[in-house]
Amino acid sequence: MSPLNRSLKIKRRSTPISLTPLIDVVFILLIFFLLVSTFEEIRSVEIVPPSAQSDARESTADEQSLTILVQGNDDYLVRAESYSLESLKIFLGEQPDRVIFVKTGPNAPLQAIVSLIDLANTLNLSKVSLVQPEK
Amino acid sequence: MRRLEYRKPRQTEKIDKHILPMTNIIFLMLIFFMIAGQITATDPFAITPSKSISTTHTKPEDGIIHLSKDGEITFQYQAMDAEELKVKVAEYLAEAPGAVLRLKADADYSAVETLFLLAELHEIGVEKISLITQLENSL
Repeated sequence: MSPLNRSLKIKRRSTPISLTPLIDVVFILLIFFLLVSTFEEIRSVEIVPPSAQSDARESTADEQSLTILVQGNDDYLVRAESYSLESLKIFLGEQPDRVIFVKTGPNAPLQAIVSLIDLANTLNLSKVSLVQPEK
Repeated sequence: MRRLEYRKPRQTEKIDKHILPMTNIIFLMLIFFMIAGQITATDPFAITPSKSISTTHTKPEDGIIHLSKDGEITFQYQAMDAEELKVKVAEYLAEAPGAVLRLKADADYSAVETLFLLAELHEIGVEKISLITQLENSL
């Protein structure tokens, strides 16, 4: 066999591709998604801000209306009687057509307002207005 | 001399074969996090939103106001005070009339102060605002 033929018959050794760099990249991507992803279930509640009109309506409120004073989480005052969220749900459920004005006490957190709005939505109470606090 | 037909595997080939099952698992975890997670912009400060049973989603393109537990305010991720906020929101509404703003406020922040802020926003033309909440299972 001539030297030329012999050289043509020499097979090139295949160079296997290492998987290690691929795994490095995949790990980095995994760490990236672990750090930036959030699993909070974010939703929203629509709120109509208090206005001068709602204040005026509250000041001329009649017996058909109800003013709820939010004092704290699970602490609501209606006509000088204190209610928890559960008892308020029962109370308001018996009076579906009332116009409701929501006032806030100085120590009430925002969560208490949101819970009350949720309660109003659950009971399909459409006439709920936030009253501007006094300065 | 007879040439050997069997070639011993290289050290790297041995290691690569053992890594293959781990690669499978890592890929599966990556796909899980890519699908299950949501990529959102980081809040300028730590805020724990109020819990609510509402299932309404917000639109990420709406303007956003952040309100921390200590009363710090940002609008579109820029820190400002209440007066500057009114100016910036008025400018935002002038550019996009009828736009709905989002408010991400801490659940423990004072309700009175929040309502003051909302009343001031109402004066400059904000008719409705979407308060961002966390999903709660039941009331």
